[in-house]
Amino acid sequence: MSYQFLIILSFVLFSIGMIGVAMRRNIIVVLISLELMLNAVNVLFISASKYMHTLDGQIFVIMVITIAAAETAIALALVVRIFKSLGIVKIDDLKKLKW
Amino acid sequence: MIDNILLYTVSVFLIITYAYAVFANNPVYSAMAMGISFFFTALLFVILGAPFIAAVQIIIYVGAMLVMFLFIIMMFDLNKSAVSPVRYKPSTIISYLLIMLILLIGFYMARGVLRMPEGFTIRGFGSAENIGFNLMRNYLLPFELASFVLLAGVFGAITFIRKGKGS
Repeated sequence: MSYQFLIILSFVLFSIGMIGVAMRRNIIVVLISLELMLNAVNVLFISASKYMHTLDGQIFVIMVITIAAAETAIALALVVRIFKSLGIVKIDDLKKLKW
Repeated sequence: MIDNILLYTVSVFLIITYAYAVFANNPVYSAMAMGISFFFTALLFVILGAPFIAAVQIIIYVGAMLVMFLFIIMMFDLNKSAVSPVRYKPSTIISYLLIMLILLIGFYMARGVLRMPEGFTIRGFGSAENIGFNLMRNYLLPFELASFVLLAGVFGAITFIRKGKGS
């Protein structure tokens, strides 16, 4: 098990999540892809923490999980609000602020 | 040796579940694949010597976030199809048997019959004890700030979801 392999794995996972954010049009799937991207970053932090023999990476992962939880709560509240007031679940239809 | 095999297997499954979560048509399947990918990530964390983070990962991501996503998807009623009665498809039975198998393995692990391989311990480097000491000694301020972020998240969610005076 090599450090390079884990870096490449994390990069691949991050790229898959980024493809999801860029390509999918359902708001919920975009949020799920965002979570997957954050999780890919967590993988990188944990592997760095293992190979550098410090706990800082693991502490940072706890912070990332906290931020991800708060972000999901707010984002899903926003999605519910948008759906209740506009009836939109596709992200393409959300262009009120588009200039 | 077993580390390497396990690591590569978990990586392959991780990539497959990620791709399925991103490209599935049904958002429910997407959310479930996300949950399974979080389980595999937790396994990866255990391999990499972070058992406490793996537990936190499962508790928060699967226990809180996945349930939240599924609730929101259920509230939306996206596919608008009529509610079908429960059918006993092969996939239902297979998933039921898999859950039973996992419970059985957990039971025998708790009894001490099955053991984890030597390298995987819950003490030492990434244990809850070490993380707790490090968090309270060196990272107390970020810890408190994280609690404030969660508080702000709660207030933000309530504010967004509540019916305003205008609407």
